[in-house]
Amino acid sequence: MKVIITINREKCTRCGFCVDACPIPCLFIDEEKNEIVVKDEHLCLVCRNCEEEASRKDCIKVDFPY
Amino acid sequence: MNFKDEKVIKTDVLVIGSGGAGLRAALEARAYGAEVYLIDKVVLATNNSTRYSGGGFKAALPGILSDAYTKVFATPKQHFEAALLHGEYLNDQFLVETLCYEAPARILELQEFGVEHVGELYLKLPYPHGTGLVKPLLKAVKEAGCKTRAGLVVADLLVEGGTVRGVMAVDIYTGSLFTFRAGATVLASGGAGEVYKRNDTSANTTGDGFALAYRAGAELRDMEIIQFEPYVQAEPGLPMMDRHECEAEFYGILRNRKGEDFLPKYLPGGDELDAFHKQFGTHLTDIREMVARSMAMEVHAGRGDGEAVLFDLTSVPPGKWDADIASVYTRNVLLRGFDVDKKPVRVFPGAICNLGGVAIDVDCRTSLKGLFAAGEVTGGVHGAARLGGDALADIFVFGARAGRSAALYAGSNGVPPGEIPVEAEIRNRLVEILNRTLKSKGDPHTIKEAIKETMWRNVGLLRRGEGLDQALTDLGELKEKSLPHLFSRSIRELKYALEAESMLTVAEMIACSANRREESRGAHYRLDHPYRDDRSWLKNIFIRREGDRMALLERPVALLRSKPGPISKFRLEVKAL
Ligand SMILES: Cc1cc2nc3c(=O)[nH]c(=O)nc-3n(C[C@H](O)[C@H](O)[C@H](O)COP(=O)(O)OP(=O)(O)OC[C@H]3O[C@@H](n4cnc5c(N)ncnc54)[C@H](O)[C@@H]3O)c2cc1C
Ligand code: SF4
Ligand code: SF4
Repeated sequence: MKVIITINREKCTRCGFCVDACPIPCLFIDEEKNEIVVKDEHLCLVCRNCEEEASRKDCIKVDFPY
Repeated sequence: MNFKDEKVIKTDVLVIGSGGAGLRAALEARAYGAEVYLIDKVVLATNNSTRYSGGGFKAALPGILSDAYTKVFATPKQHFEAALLHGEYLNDQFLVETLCYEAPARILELQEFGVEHVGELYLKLPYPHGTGLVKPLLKAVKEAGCKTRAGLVVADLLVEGGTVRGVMAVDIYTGSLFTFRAGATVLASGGAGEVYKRNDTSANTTGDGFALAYRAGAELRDMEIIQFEPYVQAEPGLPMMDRHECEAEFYGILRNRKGEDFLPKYLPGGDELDAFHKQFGTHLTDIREMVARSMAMEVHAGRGDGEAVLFDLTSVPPGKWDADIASVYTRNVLLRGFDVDKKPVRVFPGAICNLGGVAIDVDCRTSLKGLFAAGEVTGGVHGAARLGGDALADIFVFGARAGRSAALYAGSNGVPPGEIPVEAEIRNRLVEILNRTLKSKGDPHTIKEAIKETMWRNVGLLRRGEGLDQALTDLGELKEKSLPHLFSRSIRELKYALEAESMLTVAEMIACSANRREESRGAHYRLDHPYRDDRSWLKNIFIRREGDRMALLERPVALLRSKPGPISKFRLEVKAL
């Protein structure tokens, strides 16, 4: 079973809230591209902090059947 | 590159950290009439140990706290004795006394702040259970009229003539530089699990507060004492996380590569174990140090599965995986399809909690005027080992005390009227980091990784002189060769740069103290000094900055309330069999 984290690029303002909310972190800011990147999804705890603390509705989504 | 602009804020009390300790401190300072500002380096009440905790408390609250997580004592006196016995007498006995007598009131009172299911969060709330603590408390803090702000990474404390007068902090969300001039400052910035490659804490736990206090000249103590959580997953491709509050796992058996159930070999049996269980109950959360060390010993003796041991869950009775919310989470999320009914899963300990930290008295005063501290950033409450549930009791008991002391201090000393001389120096330091030429060795993430690696290899569960020397050499090299190149490509990235700098200081403090303590006690185990030595080492190691030098001071423990009896076999030594 895989966790799939999707960032809605059209909605993302790169505020960084999801990055800061993630304990692993599975989310990073790519300084060169100024973009949020998803890394190591297999380590995601499905705590959903990133979704909860996100600055915009549905800008980030953690898919996991649980 | 420079900051977008600068802002100056004046407040009676500034609280650093929105974990349990900081939130509780803010509430208390406000109740004492102070104007309070609470800040956190990330989103408020989000990415901290309180939120990721199991939410299990220890306190003399029989009938209210659940016995499922940890032994619940009938009286504060029993709690006190157990905490000292477990902490192997390194604790500050006045702090322990305060903890045990006040914990019941502080825990019950959480309900007034809107916390539900106190004492059984791990049974009632989905992961992360501690959400049930931090979110209601944050709401209460805001309702009480405290000001709050997220995304402020404290870069340094403002010290003037040995008194702390506020902080400077970088706003990673707007790019501003903030100067807080505060009547009193409360440090509640949590621990430093992240200095170890294997840990059970959030990547946000970089120990900034230890480093801030150290740089400001405050005393720290017992930095060598790190608690490791035993059952942290070590299966490639699965999250590195523990499952200790999960009912199903009580049926698991730790095995070495040969399939042997090795724990009984290390833990004495018979009368001694019975007596122990009578006092502490049968909860694994209360013998974590011993279990973690046994696992490390098996790997050390070459009987591990690589650098892990095997956790055999094949005989968990049917139905137990659905017994509680933590078991369901473990099976579905942490194990995600790994067939534990058929094969064992690899586990190995990881750092969970710093038991040493900034030295405080019962009123949470540090050795610097104007600076108060509470929670995991402090030392002395837990001694050399911590009972399960004592950390959460600690943060609320001492969080409240720190808030009260800070409010009273600010009330009588007032808010600093104007600029504090060190402000310019701190600003320059930050601007310099922002404008350095990019050299790969100055990459904050590279520096962090190097620290984590050497700390894990050399200052982990089983320590020895040569390893500790090696760690100090590695850290010294990073300090000399990499730190001068530490860079940050954006104001946001300054968070990671400052964290790397803090981690280096914290790592050095841990390694230095661990090197000095030539005995084994609680969570600190030296392969080259495997015995507890009460004759030479009933002492605490304090650390203080003296110029550029890290000065270590040994002070005998004040055994004012209770003295150690003969050391039981249980505590003597875990033999490398
Ligand atoms: C997985 C896990 C489970 C646990 N379970 C239990 C349990 O069941 N029972 C128990 O008693 N203990 C438990 N513990 C230990 C306990 O949770 C912690 O010791 C305790 O919550 C620490 O609280 P705190 O408020 O001191 O720090 P934290 O809750 O970690 O909060 C510190 C805050 O300070 C902020 N901060 C740090 N540096 C800066 C800076 N430079 N500028 C601004 N802000 C900063 C951080 O962002 C963070 O929000 C557990 C720990 C872990 C990791
Ligand atoms: S669910 Fe939790 S662990 Fe997973 S990406 Fe979001 S914040 Fe990180
Ligand atoms: S919280 Fe949403 S908007 Fe902000 S960086 Fe994450 S995905 Fe983008």
